This record gives sequence, C-alpha cells and structure tokens, in this order.
Amino acid sequence: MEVDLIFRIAAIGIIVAVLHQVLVRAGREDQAMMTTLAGVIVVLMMLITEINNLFETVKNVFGLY
Amino acid sequence: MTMDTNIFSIVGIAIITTALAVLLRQFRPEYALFVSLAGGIFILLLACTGILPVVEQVYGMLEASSVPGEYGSVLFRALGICFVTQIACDTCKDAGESAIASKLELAGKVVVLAISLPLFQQVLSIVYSLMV
Repeated sequence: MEVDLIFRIAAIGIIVAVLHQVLVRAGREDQAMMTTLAGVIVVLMMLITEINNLFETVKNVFGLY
Repeated sequence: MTMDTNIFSIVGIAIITTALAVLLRQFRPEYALFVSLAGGIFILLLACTGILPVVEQVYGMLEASSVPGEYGSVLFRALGICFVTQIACDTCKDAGESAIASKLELAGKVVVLAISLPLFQQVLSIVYSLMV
C-alpha cells in the first residue's frame, strides 16, 4: 500500500465537494447527489482492497486462520 | 526495514492524514472518514510488519521455557482480533455511530473469550488435579 492512496482519497473528496457546490448553484440538486454517491463508491472500491490487504497481513502475522 | 527508523514516517503520515481529514470534514464529512480510515489502515499495516520479529522472539522465548506453543498462539490470535476490531470500532466512533462501535466491541470480546476459554479450562483442570 502506498501513501498516495490517502492523497488520492482527499483529492477525490475535494473534487466532489467542488462539483457538488457547482451543481447545487446551477440548480441541479439531483445530479449533485449522484456525484456524491459516485465519489463515495469509487473511494470505497479503493479502500476495500486495502482493508483486504490489512486483514491478510493480520492473519499472517498473528496466525489467525 | 526496522520499526525505529520507520516511526518518523508513521508520525508524518498520521499528521498529514489528520490535516487532510480536518480539511475535508468542513466540506464533505464522509470523505474525512475515508481518509482517516485509509491512514489508520496504512499505519496498522506498518505496525504489523514491525511486530513480526517481536512475535518470532516471543515464540522463541516460549519454546525455550518449554511452554506449549499453543499458549503463544492463543495470545497472538487474541491480539490480532483486538487490532482488527479496534480499527473498525474507532472508525465507527469517529463517524458518530457509538452504538455500532459498542456492539462491535462486544463481538470482539466474545471472540477473544471463545479463543481463550480452552486455556482457562486447562487452568481449571490443573487446579482440580492439585485439589484432589
């Protein structure tokens, strides 16, 4: 796992926040909601591999099977 | 890579993650949660790789003192369960879901108890054999 992941997640967060503001100002609340949802799903997909990585490491180190 | 040279990078990652989480919390609170979770996973991964020689040394010491190896195995399995439970529990608490966090703590305690109960049974049998 790279430290990049933390920065990437933060960048996606900032981009989604900006997009949300722009879309709300443009009067498209529904699309703003969809953008937020899509961002959350993308970030979750990125995180889930790392969570799996952590679980495998803990299982190997502490002998949990 | 040993733990003592690594601690500076861990501290740096922790501070940067905290700064990013605080920044994101005012715009989108859910991304602050994700950033802190990713940072926590990263730090825990580094800690787990640092603890590997400690685990081997403790196993070696247990073997030298002719203690059965299953005792150390129980100890470290309980420690691993505690690590995994703690990171999920802290994430729930950070998100304000203290109800889920306390249930998760309960589940972790139950699993650790189920793992360590056979050892307790052995202690009881030793006590019983001493009494009779």
